[in-house]
This record gives sequence, C-alpha cells and structure tokens, in this order.
Amino acid sequence: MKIREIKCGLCGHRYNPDQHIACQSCPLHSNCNLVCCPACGYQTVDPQGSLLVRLASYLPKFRGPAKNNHNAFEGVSLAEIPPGGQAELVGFADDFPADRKAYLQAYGLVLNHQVQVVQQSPVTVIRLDNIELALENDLARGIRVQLPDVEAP
Amino acid sequence: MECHTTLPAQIESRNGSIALVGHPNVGKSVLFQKMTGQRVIVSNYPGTTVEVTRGSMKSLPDTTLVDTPGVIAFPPHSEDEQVTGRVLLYEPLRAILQVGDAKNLRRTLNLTIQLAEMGVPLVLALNMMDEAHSRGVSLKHDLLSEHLSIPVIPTTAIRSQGIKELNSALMTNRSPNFRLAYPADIENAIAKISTNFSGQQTPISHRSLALLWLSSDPVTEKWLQDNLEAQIYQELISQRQILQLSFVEPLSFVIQGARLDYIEGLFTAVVTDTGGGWRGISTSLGRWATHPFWGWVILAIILYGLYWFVGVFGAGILVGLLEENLFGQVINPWVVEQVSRLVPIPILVDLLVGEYGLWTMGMTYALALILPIVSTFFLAFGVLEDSGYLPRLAALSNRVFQRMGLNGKAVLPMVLRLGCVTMATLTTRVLETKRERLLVIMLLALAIPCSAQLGVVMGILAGVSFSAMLIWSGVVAIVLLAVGWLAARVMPGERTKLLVELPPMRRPVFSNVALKTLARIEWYLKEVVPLFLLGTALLFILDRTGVLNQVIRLGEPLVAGWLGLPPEASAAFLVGFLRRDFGATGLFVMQSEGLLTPIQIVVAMVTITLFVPCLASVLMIAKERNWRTATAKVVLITPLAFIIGGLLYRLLFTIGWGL
Repeated sequence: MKIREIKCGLCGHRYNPDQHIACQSCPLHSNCNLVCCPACGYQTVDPQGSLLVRLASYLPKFRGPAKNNHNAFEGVSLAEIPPGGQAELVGFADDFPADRKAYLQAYGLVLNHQVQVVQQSPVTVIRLDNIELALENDLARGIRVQLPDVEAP
Repeated sequence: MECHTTLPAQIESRNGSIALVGHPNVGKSVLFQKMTGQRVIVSNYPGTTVEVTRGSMKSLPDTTLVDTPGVIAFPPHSEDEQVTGRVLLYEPLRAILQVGDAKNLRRTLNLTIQLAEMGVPLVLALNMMDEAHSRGVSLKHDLLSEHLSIPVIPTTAIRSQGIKELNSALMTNRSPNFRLAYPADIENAIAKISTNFSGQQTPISHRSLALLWLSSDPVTEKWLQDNLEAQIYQELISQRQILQLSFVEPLSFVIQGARLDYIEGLFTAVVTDTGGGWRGISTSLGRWATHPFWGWVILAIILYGLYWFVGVFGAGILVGLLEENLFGQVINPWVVEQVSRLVPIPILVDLLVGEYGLWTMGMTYALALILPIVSTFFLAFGVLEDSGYLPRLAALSNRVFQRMGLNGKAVLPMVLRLGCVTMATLTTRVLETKRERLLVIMLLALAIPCSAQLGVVMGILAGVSFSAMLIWSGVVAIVLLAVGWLAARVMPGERTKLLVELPPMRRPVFSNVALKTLARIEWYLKEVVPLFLLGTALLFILDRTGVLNQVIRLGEPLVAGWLGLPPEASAAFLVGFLRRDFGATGLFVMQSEGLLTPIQIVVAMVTITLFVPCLASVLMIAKERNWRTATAKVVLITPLAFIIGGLLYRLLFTIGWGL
C-alpha cells in the first residue's frame, strides 16, 4: 500500500494520516474527513476521506498543493511563492533535470540571485533581470528558494 | 580568477564565412537582413531559424554571413541548437558575430565567454539598445570590451543603428586574448587533453575544445571521434571519467560555476539598472495572455478575430468581389471568348475553358477563391507572430499538451503548420526529444489543416453559422486530443517539462509583416498553382474518359450512403489527395451553388480536414522518416476521416441540428 503524507498547513510538519492512533480511538472517526497534525493539533481535510473534496479537487481553484515529484528538501520551493512575491535561489532538488538546470543557469538563475514570481497558474512565470520565463509547476517545485532579507526601515 | 593572458597562436590567418550566433529571439535574423540585404523570415518567438541561412555581406562581398539557430549555451540541448554547434566546428570561419540582448547582459555574457574562449575573432553586437534604455538599463560597453578583449558594439538592428560600426569591427579580424581560470583539477585536465591535439589544426582553440569535451558537448564528441585516432579518443573518455570522480556535480556544472562567478563580477562593473522595466500596456497584455482565465478569453477573442478577418472578410467579401464580379463577369467571359475564337480544336478549348478547364477551374480556384483567403490569413498570422503572443500560447496551453505527452512548446509547429508544412516539420526541432518530434509530426499530418484549407473551411462555415464553426473545431480538437493521448501511451519515453522564454509583447512592424505576407503569397503561388492545374487536368482526363462518372458511382455508397453527401462530392475528395484545400474548394463551389445543406457542409468539412495528408505533407513525412511510415499514415488516416465524418452525420441528424 502506498504511504500517504500530509503537510500541516500551520507548522509544516509532514505526517501519515493513516497512522493516526488518536483518530482510531475516536467514536466519531468513521465519518470524519479531518485529520489533526500530531505536532500542533491543526485540523486538515483528508483528501482521500471526502468525496466532495475529491470532486472539488478537479477544479483548478481547489486543486491544493500538487504532488511534488522531486525529492523532498527542507525549505520553500519556488512554486510556493505567491504571485508578486520575490525569492532568492538556494538550490535545486537532487533529481532536478540536469538540462533544465543548465538552461536556467544560462538564463542567470544562479545561487542567491533574486527572482520575481509573476504567476503560478497555469504555469509558473518568473522575472529574472529583464527576462520572463515560463516553467512548468513541477519544475518550480524542484527549485529551492528563500525569502529575501527585508531591510529595516 | 584571471583573464587577459595571451592565447597560444593556434589559429593564424583565417578565411571563410562569418557566423551569426546568439540566444534565440535577440535579433540575429534582422541583423542578417541588414548586413546581407537578403530577406529571411523574422518573428517574435524563439525558433524562427531552425537551419542555417547564408548570404553575401554587403560590406564584404566575398564573405558569407551564416545565420544560425539560437543557442542558450554550450552544450546544446535541442536539435536546432546542435546545428549552431556544428557550424562552429565544421564550417571554416573567419569570425563570429555574437548578437546579444543588451537588457539581459548576464545571459549574453554566458555565451560570450564560451565564444571568446574559442579563439576565433569575435565581435559582440549588444542589440536592442532601445529596449534596454526604455527599461532603465545602461551599459559601459567600452569597459566590457576592455575586459573581454573583443569589440563590443551597441546596436538597434531593427532601426539599422550600429550596423556600420559592426562592419568595420568585423574587418579587424583579431582573435580575442581571453582566458578564464577554472579550478586547478579542471585546468590540469585541460592541459592534459590539449596535448592530444598538439600540432593539429583545429577549428577552435585547443583550450575551448577541451572545455567542450569535458562538458560532454555532443557535437564536440562527434568531431573528436571523426578527427582523432580511436585509441586517443578512448584515452580522452577515461581522462574525463577519472576527472569526474573528483567532483560531486557534473563537470559541465563545475565549469559553468566558474564562468557564472566571473560574469557576476563583470556584470556589476558594467551595468547600471535603474529599474523602470515591466511597466506599460505591453507588460500588462503579456500577463493577461498567460492568465489562467483571461488568457483563454484573449485566445477566444483572437480566434474570433481570425474567423471574422479570414472567414467573413477574406472568404466572404473578398472572394465575392473577385470570383463573382471580377472573374465571373469580366475576366472569365473575356478569356472564354478569346480562347474559343483563337483555338480551332474543340477538345483544347474544353481543356482550357470548359467545365474542368485549366483557366476556368484551376486558375480561377487558385486566384479568385484561395488567394484572397490565404492573403488575409498570412497577414493576420504575421501580426500574431511578431507580437510575441505565440510563446505565451505555449505557456497557456501547456496543460492540454501534457495530456498528449508533450509540453506547450508543441503549439509552435502546430500553429506554423497553418502556414507551411515544411516549415512546421522543421520547427519540430525546437522540441527536445525525438519522441516529442515524432508525436507532433504525426498530429500535424492528421488534424492540423493548412492555411488555405483553414481559410476555405472558415469561409464555408461562416456562410452557415457560428455554431457550425464550433462543431467543426470541437470535433477536430477532440480527434487531435484523443489520438495524441493514445499515441503518447503507445510511444514510450519521458515527457520534457516546459521551460520557455516569454519575449516582450511588441507592436508588429508593418513593413516586416507586409513583406513576410508577400513572401508567403509568392511561395503559395509557386507551390499551389501547378498542383491546382495538375488536379484540373486529371479531372478533365477522367471526365473525358468516363472514369470520373465511374468514380462517382463507386464512391456513392461511401460519400452518399455513409457521409450523407451528394455523389458529386466524390470528385472533391478525389482531388483532395493532391491538396486538401483543392478538395475543400470543390466543396466550397458546391455550397455556393446551393447543393449542400448545413449538416452536409459540417460533415464534409470535418472529413476533408481529417482527410489524407496532402501530397506535400506525404513527401515531407517520407523525407523525414521513410516511405513505409508515409504510406502507413495515409492508410490509417483515410478510413479514420470517413468513420468520424459518418458518425458525425448520424449524430447531427439524430439531434436535429441544422434541419
């Protein structure tokens, strides 16, 4: 059976909703579509539990965080930066396609370089100096970034 | 890090051509036009040049200028980029002229360094200076020239600014003395590898050859395999493998890392960016064009505008004026009269001006019916190409192409197919893998009509209703998606994820669009008119020998029984084998004579769109693949077109549409 993983929306802790001992002991568990984070207790909808949530996930606005096909890394991915936001490149996922990495580097996406995210749907569009690049969301999920330091006023 | 040490003089005096090299969409083709006076197709999207174009330079008449496909950096990632790599290694070059985007110097320098390392005389044209100024970017080009030891000329090619200076810089013919220091292990490897070339005349410097080899550049690998003894080549492979063990990252990344560090320092020294970019209507338009909702609204507006301009204006108003008024009332009666008076042989008169006459059918179809339609289409298409919209369409439609195992870049050859199948097939080279190229070539042959056919289809359907147009486009799109989806599952291999540059949205330059339209009309007349005449002559012979009636009788169960069309439509499908637009024009004439009902029109248009690829398309597939593939496509596609047409007829009849 495939091991499922949910990322807590509040604290970022990743956990398997199927291994939830607290839920199993709850008398109302059988019809409950929510799971609680073992680290902070924050409730999240179990995407497998609710038929309505599964149906709504076909609509773009309710799709939620897409599956990350890249090896997990600590920190924020470019796909998580909201439109209009800025980010600094920290690195790439280990399994990031080498040719795409070389292509992005040739365009100037190098360590500590700042990019501006223009949009995230239907593809991620970023501004790099005076160039706009469109890249598939899955590629953006493999690019590790950090928010730039904000100078004190 | 060091630079500016003198390079060993491996490349003494040079004769040969000048290669125009640069990133995609930086104005190489415009500069080529200005420097040679030769017209090439120029557009505002990456991938306009997929093979090399040659022209004699105006200022140096004995020198050939070679326009190459855009390259991001070496090693190349796609087939068209490899073409550029081959020019640099296999073509005798006296100099390289790099065209760079002035407002994106970091990216430009990445390629400049690699070219400067090659040791071939190099001139850097910093193009699009006007856009750089408007975005608040100013450059110290003298300082840049000093650092790189090459002439750096600011240009705005579209306005012919800086061309004179470029020509004089190219005459100096001086090899750059540029040398960048890499990590010690890499430097040692370069020295070791270079000993294998000692005493050998190489097209580029030994150092650059070694660096390209270490970066696993496929073109360099092929060149070395061809030019070195097998044993030495094997030694090079083992040297590279041993060196790789010293690094975690691939060698190409280590080499690139050193270059990026140098570029960062140089960039800071020569560029002042006051900001100010990303404002104005063109930026907003660019954003809306890729917006998940407004992007589709804009696409719908563009398609409706195209339908109106080509279908209603071109195929309706212009064709009416030309066919009914000019040809129908003035030219054709006069030609018929003159031919009947001057030619004494009745059969010859019939061949020229009869029912299947070369003039009254062949030339009238080509000039009065198709010409206004393709002219309006080419004009609208030129505006779209130059606006910078097409790469945004690639981004917008990426999810659709994902279902077909492709990425949004596949939209480029598909849109280009509307103009020219040869160009579209060549443009598949912008796709990264062979699997993607094969998939797109197959879809091109199946469901993408050429502009002439599209125009005729739009013209006919515009005469019925907008819903007829929607049914036609819906059925063709469903077939395209279904076949693409199936083919992607049958063909093994991984999909390349989309990564595409979005050039700025620009107001198209009228002269460029007009000249491009004229060049395409000329191509159309040269390619299509002979085939129309051939088709007419074929129909004439079949009619005279009585075979046409037999064909119509034989085709009756299929055309009349299954598709529900009048039996005479068989003749249109017969000539559709030559060119699909010729067949569609036959149906157009039947419609204007009131011989077809709305259902019959939609069914006929869907069938002829999905019908066998025309002769040019079959020849192109045979050339790119082989005759077996081309025959298999014809054998598969023909029954599929008739099956879908027949099913659609029954569906529309059952729901009572158009009755």
